[in-house]
Amino acid sequence: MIALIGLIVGIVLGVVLSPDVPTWMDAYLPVAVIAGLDAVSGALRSMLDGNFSDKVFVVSFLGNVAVASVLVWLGDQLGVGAQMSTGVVVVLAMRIFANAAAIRRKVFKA
Amino acid sequence: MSRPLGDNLLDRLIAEAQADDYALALEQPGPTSTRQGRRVAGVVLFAVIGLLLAVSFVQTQTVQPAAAQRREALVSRIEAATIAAQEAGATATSLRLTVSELQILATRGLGEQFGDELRALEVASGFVGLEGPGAVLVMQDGTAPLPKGVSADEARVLDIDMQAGVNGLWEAGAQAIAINDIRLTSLTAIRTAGEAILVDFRPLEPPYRVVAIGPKDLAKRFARTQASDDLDQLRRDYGIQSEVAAADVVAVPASTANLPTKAEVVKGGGR
Repeated sequence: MIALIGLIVGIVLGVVLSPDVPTWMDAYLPVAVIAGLDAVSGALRSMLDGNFSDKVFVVSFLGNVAVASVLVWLGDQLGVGAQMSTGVVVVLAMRIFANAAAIRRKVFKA
Repeated sequence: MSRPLGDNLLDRLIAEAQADDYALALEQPGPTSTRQGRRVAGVVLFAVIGLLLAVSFVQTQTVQPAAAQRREALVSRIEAATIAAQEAGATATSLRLTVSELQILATRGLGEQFGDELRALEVASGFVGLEGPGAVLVMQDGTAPLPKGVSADEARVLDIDMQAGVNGLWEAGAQAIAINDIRLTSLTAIRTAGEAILVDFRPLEPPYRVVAIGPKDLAKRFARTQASDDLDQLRRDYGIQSEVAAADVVAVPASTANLPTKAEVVKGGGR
């Protein structure tokens, strides 16, 4: 519940403040957003499973964002930045799908 | 909740991607109790993720329309400037005609020879538009069927082909020439830039219509020049089409190129 409130506060802050994203962040923002969606869907799944852990949530999100950003940055330096961010997004999207499927099984028993 | 990892890269990728971090964490030995600090960190992180989502959503919604607006503004500015340039060009042409008429009036007292000289200079420099008998040379990129072993790229009219045609027309006695309504003067360059031919720094659209004013038999005279043979050769070897036809009345516009920015009165020209 408190997590949902945190999420909503963040969204409201983002809409109200609508800060300008610096240009150098353009490549990393989408990756961070997808990693965020992944973390939220994973958290929702584990809450339904009853094994949610703040530690896992924080560490896995930060770890994923760090690895994804480093991969994209490295890809940029090697001239495959766009492909790398596509790859990162694909993997994270697969995780989101897996989480969504687990949630679906839990909620609808199907 | 460990899964058997396949040897296959794709299987492994899918298995890794679907791994449930939380369930795996449960299997780890160690304390899993959630302390106050961690709770706060978790909530803050939820807020951060919400912020990220909102920011990128807002960013995407506002940046793209802004870019499209800028593009449209640029396009309309280009269109307006093009129209303004065309109007200014038309004004310049009519003003030159007026100037030319006034010059003839003003120099009437200087004798017939001076008027003729002036007129000849005006024609040669492209200062006025002309109408009269002449010839029309149409050049066009080769189309299928091309001669054997010639690619479409090679069948394109090049700047040197056009220069050859134009020089042939001058040689045949042309007084004034215009390509696709761009008047040639002694300062007009015919060049290739990328895939387009530029005349007076303006790109041409095929087919290229070279209009020349000159003696009535200009087309016949042209047929006897080396340039005519060269064009025939181009047609045979590369399929580049060119055709010369005599014309009773053709018109060439005045040059719209910038006049020389430096001019001096010739010694003794003050008469």
